[in-house]
Amino acid sequence: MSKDIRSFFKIDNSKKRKNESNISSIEKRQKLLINKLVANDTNIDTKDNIAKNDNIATKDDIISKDEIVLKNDIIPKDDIPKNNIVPKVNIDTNGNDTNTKPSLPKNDSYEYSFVDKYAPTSMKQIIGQQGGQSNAHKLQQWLLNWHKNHGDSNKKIKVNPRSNDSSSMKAALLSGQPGIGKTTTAHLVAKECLFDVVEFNASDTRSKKLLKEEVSQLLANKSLKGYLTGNEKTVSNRHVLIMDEVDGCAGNEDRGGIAELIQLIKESKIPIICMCNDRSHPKIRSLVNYCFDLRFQKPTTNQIRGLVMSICFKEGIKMEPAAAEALITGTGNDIRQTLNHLALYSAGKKSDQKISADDAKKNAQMAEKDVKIGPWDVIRKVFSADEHRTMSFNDKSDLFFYDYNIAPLFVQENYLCVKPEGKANQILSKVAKTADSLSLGDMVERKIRSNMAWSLLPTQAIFSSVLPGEYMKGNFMKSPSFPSWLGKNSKSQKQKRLAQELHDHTRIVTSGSRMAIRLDYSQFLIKAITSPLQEKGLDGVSESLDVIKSYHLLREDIESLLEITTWGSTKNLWDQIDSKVKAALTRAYNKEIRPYSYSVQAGVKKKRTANFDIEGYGDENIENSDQEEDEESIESSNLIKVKKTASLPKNKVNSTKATVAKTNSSKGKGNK
Amino acid sequence: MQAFLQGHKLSAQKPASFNSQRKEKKSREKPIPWVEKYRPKKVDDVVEQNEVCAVLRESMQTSDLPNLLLYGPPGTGKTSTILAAARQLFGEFIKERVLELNASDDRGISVIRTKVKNFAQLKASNIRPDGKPCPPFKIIILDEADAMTNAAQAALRRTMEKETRTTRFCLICNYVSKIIEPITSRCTKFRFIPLHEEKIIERLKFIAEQEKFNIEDEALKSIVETSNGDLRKAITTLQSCYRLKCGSDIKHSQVTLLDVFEMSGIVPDSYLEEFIKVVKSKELQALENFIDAFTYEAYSLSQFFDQLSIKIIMDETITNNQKAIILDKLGESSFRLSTGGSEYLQLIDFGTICIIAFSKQN
Amino acid sequence: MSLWVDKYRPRELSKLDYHKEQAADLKRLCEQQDFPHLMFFGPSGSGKKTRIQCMLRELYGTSAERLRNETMTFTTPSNKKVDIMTVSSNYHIELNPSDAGIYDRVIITDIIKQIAQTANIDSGSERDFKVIVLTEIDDLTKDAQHALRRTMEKYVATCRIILCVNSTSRVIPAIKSRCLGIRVSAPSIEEIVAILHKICRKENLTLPNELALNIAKTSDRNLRRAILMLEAAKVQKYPFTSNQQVPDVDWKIFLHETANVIMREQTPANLEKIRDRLYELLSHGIPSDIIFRELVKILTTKCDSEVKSQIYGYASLYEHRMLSGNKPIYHLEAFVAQFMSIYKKYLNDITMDFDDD
Repeated sequence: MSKDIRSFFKIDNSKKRKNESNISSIEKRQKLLINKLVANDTNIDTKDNIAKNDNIATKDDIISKDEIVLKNDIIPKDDIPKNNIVPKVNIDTNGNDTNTKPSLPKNDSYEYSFVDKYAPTSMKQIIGQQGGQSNAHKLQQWLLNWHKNHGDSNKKIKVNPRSNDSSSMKAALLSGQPGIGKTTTAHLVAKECLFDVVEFNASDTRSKKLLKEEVSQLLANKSLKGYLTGNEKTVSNRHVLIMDEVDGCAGNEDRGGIAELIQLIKESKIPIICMCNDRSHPKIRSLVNYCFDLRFQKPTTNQIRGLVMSICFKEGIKMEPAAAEALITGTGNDIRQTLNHLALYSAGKKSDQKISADDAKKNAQMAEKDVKIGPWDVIRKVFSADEHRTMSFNDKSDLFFYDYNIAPLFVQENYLCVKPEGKANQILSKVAKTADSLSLGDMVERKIRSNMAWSLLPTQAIFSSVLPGEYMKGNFMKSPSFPSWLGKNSKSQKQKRLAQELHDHTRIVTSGSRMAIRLDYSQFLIKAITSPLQEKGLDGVSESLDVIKSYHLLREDIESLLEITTWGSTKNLWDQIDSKVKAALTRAYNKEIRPYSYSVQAGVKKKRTANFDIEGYGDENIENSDQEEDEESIESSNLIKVKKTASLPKNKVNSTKATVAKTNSSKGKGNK
Repeated sequence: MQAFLQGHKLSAQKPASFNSQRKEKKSREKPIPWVEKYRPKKVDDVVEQNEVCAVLRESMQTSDLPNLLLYGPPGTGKTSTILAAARQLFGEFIKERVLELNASDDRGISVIRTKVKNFAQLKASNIRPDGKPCPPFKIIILDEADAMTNAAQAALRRTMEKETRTTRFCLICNYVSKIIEPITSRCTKFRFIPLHEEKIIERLKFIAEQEKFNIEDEALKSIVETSNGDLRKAITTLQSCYRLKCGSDIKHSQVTLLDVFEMSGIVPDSYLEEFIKVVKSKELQALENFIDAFTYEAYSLSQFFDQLSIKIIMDETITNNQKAIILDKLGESSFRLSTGGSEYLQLIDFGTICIIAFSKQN
Repeated sequence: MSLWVDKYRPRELSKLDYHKEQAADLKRLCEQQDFPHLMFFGPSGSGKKTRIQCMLRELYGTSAERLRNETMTFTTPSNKKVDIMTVSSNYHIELNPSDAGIYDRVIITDIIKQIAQTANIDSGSERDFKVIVLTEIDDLTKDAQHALRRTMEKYVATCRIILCVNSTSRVIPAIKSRCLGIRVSAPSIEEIVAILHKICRKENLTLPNELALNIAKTSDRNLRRAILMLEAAKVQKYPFTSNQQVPDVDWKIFLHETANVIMREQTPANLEKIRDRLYELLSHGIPSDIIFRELVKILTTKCDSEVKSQIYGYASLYEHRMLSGNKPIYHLEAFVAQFMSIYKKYLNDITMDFDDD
C-alpha cells in the first residue's frame, strides 16, 4: 500500500511542476482573458476521447481552456481530469505551438485515478441515468426548453410552485447522496445541450454580497471563447449556472447565501442547476419551492458491477464478479469510492494475480469501518452486554470517537436506564462507580477544552464511555433518550442572565450580590408585588407599583422574577391575579414610570432573545397592552412638539418594539 | 512603576508648589503607603541581601551592570533593590532610562517584540541631560517575570543578547523555575532570602519611631511572626494597625496584640484549641456545631489550616501515626481549598478524618 | 415603598447594630486623610456592603448616596464588545468584574486603569482620591487577580480599592497582603433577634420572641434573609403567633423535598428523578456549590454518624471535582449515587444484624 501512496504523490508533484512552468506564459494572456468566461467547449468531448489514446495535443482551444482552469476557479472541477490527460502545450497569443512540453510520459495510464480516468464523457455513459424517465433525460429536456419558456422576459409565465411542471421552473435542484453522479450529470447534460457552464461550489465564498455581485456580473458577460478558438462566429450567450453543494452554504461568510440564491433564481435570465446532498436540510427546504426537483437514487449493485468489470478488463485486473460485488456493497454503492478502492487494490497486486472474493471482502470491511453510526447506535453498543463479547478494548473506546462531543452526554443521560448484569444488590454500587467515572471524565473534558489538550481525548474516552459501559453492561430497560443537559444548560444560562439583569436594575437600592438577589430577594420581591394585587385587586395597584418603582424594575423584570421563582408544577403567582388588575398595573406603570437609562437597551435585547412576556400574560392581556402601547405612542408623538426630550426615549422604546414585532411576524411568514 | 514614581515625586514637590492653605495642609499629608515611604533610597539601605548589594555597589562604581535575575519570596526587597540602584545610577532621569513592565501591563509576545525591543534599541549617552556622567545604558525591569508566557520569554532572549551595549535587563520573579533556561543562562542570578526577625523588628521600630506612635513589643513580635520574613507584609500590617486603631487621637497611640491579630487575619488560638478538643472528643455532632459556628465567623480557612499544621506538629500528645494521617489529609484539604473547594465541606471532611485518626489507638 | 430590608438599612457607621467596635475603627479610619485598600470579607448577609456604603457616606457625605446606573463598554483583545453595568456616584464607582465572565481580566486592566488614571478634579470633594468598589472578587479568575495586584499598587495615589468577598480562601495571597482586611462575621442569633424586634417596633408591630428566634435560626444567620422572612411572615399572617410557620426560601424547601426523595428510596430509577430535580435547581440559577453544600447538610442530619464520615469524605471529593469540571450535574449526581449506595448498604447491614439476632 505504501508504494501505492508514493506513486500517488508522484503524480501530485509532477502536476505541480507542470503547472508552475506554465503560469508565467499564461499570465500575459490571462490579463486578456481574465474577465471572460470560458466554459466547456462543445467540441471537445469527442476529441477528448481521441486524446486519451494518442496523447497528442491537437487543438489550441483545449489548452487555452486548460490554462484558464488554473486561474479561474469557475471551471467545473470534473473537467480537469479530462484535460489533464492532454499534455500541456504552451501557445502564444497567435495560437501557434511554441513550446511543446509533454510533461507526462506516455502510456502512463496508472497515474490517473480510475475515477477521473473513467469518468463518463457522454450522457449515455452515466450509470443509472439512461432512458427517457431518467433524471438526466428530464434535466436535458428542461434545459433545452428553458429558453423557450423563459427566454422572453416580457412574457410572464405564472409560476405555480405546487405544479410539478418542470417547464415553469427557472432552476433545477439535483439531490442525492455523494458519489452517485449529480455533478457529472449536470455537466454532461449542459455540454450536450450546448450550454456554457459557470460553476460555484463550496470552495467559493457564497455570501449574499458575493453572489449578488459576482454572479450577476458573470451572467451578464458573454463568452468570447468561441471567438478565440475561431470555431464559432457568434458569441454564445447560452450559459447555465451550476451551484454545487448548496447545502454547504454555512457559517458567517455564507450568511444569506440561500436567500440570495432564491432571489437570483427569481430574476435569472439563464437556467440554474443547484445540487445538494440533503434536500431535507432546513436551509434547502425553502429553496425546493423554486426548483424543478430531481432526486437521484443510488445505482444498483448490478449497474456498478458492470462498470467495475469493464474497467477491470481495460486495466487488466483480474477480478471475480463476487469480489466486485463485495467491494461495491462494502462502499455502500458509492461509485466514486468503489473505484478508489479498486485503484488502491489493483496497484498493490501484481497484475497477474486475481482478486478473490475474500480479499475484496476484507477490503470492503476496511471501508465499512468508516461507515458512520449515529449516537443512538453508539449508546446501545456502549451498554449492551451482547456487543461487548465481540468487541476489543479499542473497539469500545472507538465508540466514544464517533462523536466525542455528544457521546459523554448520551452516556450520562442513559446509564440509569440500563439494567446491569449481576446481582441486584450490587446495582447501586455499580451506578455509583459509573457516576464516579463520569465525573472524572468531566474533569478531563474541562482540561481538554480549556488547555486545548486534545491528546487527552483517549483518557476521556475511557472515563466517559468505556468504564461506564463496563460497569453497567446489560440490557436497556427503555429506549435511550436524547441528552437533556443541552436544553437544561441553555435554560440555566438564560435564568442566570435574568438574575443578572435584575441585579443590575435593583443594584442602586439593594446591597446584595447577584447571588443574594437570586437566593434571597427574588422570591420575596415578587410576593411584595403580587400580594397587594391579589388581595386588594385594583386598589392594590398603587401599592405594588410603589414597590416596582422603588426597585427601579422594568415591566419585563416582573416576568423575569416570575420565571425565576416558579418551581416545576407550582402555580404561577401572576396567573392567579385578575387580568383586569394586571392591565391596570400595566397602564399605571406606563403612565408613571419614566424609562431608565437601561430601558431601551434592555427592551430590545429582551424582545430579541425571547418573547416570554407573552407567556406571562393572559390572552386578553396581550390585546390590552398592545392597545396601551398604541395609545402611548400616539400620545407621545403628540407630545413631541411640546416636550421633546421627555417623550423621546419612550417613543424609542415603542418604535423598537414595533420593529421587532414586525420582524418577528415576517419571520413567521418565511417559515411557512 | 513610572507613573507611580512620578506620583511619588509629585507628592514630594507639592508642598512647595501650592499656596492655598488648605491644599498645602492636605498635600503635606499626602498619603503614601509606608511601604513606599520607607522604601530604601540607596542600595546601602537595603536590609540584608549582602551578596546582591555588593555586586550592585561594585557596578555603581564601574558604571556597568550585568543582566540580573532576582528571585526569592515576596517582600524580600527585590524590586526595592533594583529601583534603589537605578535611582542612584540615573538620579532624577530614571524615567527616561528605566522601563518597568509588570503583570498588570500587557506583556504578550507582541509587547516584547515592539515596546521592549524599541526601548532597548534606543541609544543611551553616558552624560545626563544636566551634564553629570552616568552609565551609558538603560534598564528594563520585568517585574513578576514568572507570569510571562514562555513564548514571550523566548521572544525576549534574542533581544537581551543583541542590545547588551545599550540595555540591561532585570527580571524579577518569585519562582526561578518558571523562567526558561535560555533566559536564566543570560543573567546573573541572585536569590533573595527571607529576612531575619531581628532585622524586621529593627525596621518596624524605626518606622514607629518616625511615625511617632507606640507599639507593644509583643504585638511587634506577632507581626513579624505572621509575616514569615515578608517585610512588605509586616509594614502593611503595621500601618493598618496604626490607621485603624490610632488615628489622629494621640492618646490612643498604642497598638496591642489583639489589634495585630485582627489586622493580619490570624485565627485566634482559642479556635484552634477548640477544634483539637472537639476532634479528640470524637463527637461528630460537636464537630458539626463547631464548624457551623466557625464558618460564620468568616475567618480564612486557609489561614486556619496553616496555623493548625504547626500546632499539630508541635503537639506532643498526638502520636506520630495520628499526625501522619491528619497531616496527609490536611495537605489534600488545603489543596482543594485553594483550587476553589467549599470551606464548609473541606473542613468537615478534614474534621472527620481527624476523628478517625484519633479513634485509632497508637 | 421598599422592602424592610432596604428601608431599615443603616446609612451611617454610627447607626450600625452590631460589630460596633469595628464600626468605630472604620470611622476613625475615615477621619484620617488616607486609608489603605480594604477588603471586606464575611458570609453572605452579614452586612459587608452596608458597611461599605456607610463608609462612603462617611468619606464623601450624602452626595455619595446619589447613585446612578451606567453601562461601560470595553473591547476584548479578540475585538468583542462587552458591556458591564456599574453603579456610581461622583466619588466612587462600584462594579462586579466577574460579570464579564472570562473577560474579567480585561475589565481589571482596562476599566480600572481608566478610572484610576483620571484623577478626581472635583474641587468640592474632601478627598483627593476616588474609591473603586469591586464585588465578588473571589469569583475572579487567577489571571484577573494577578492583574489586580499590580493595579492596586500602581494607582494608589489616585484611588482606593475596596474589595468585597465572601470567602478569602479563593483570593490570592498577593491581594490579601496588599489590603487591610475587615472581617465581617455573621451576626449572632441574639443580634438578629434584636434587630428584628427593632424593626417591628418601628413598624408598630408586636413580634413574639419565639417567632423572632425561629426566623433567626432558619435564616442561617443571614440578616438579609431574616428580615425578608419577617416581612413575608407579616404578609402571610398578622398578628403574629409565636408558633407560626416561617416562610423559608423557595429553593431550600425544594432541596429539603429532594433530600426526602433520596432517603425514601435508593434505586437507579429514583436517581433519575433526583437528576431531574437537580436540573430544576440548576436551571433556576441556584449556584451548584450552594446546592451541594446544603444538600450535604440536609442529608447528613438524616443519617447516623457511622455513615456520615463516609458521606463527608465523598462530599468534599465530588465538590472539589465539580469545581474543576465543566458540568456540575455530573458530580452532584455522582455524589447522590454514592450516597445511595452507601446508605443502602448500611440499611442492609442493619437488617442483616437483626436477622442474626
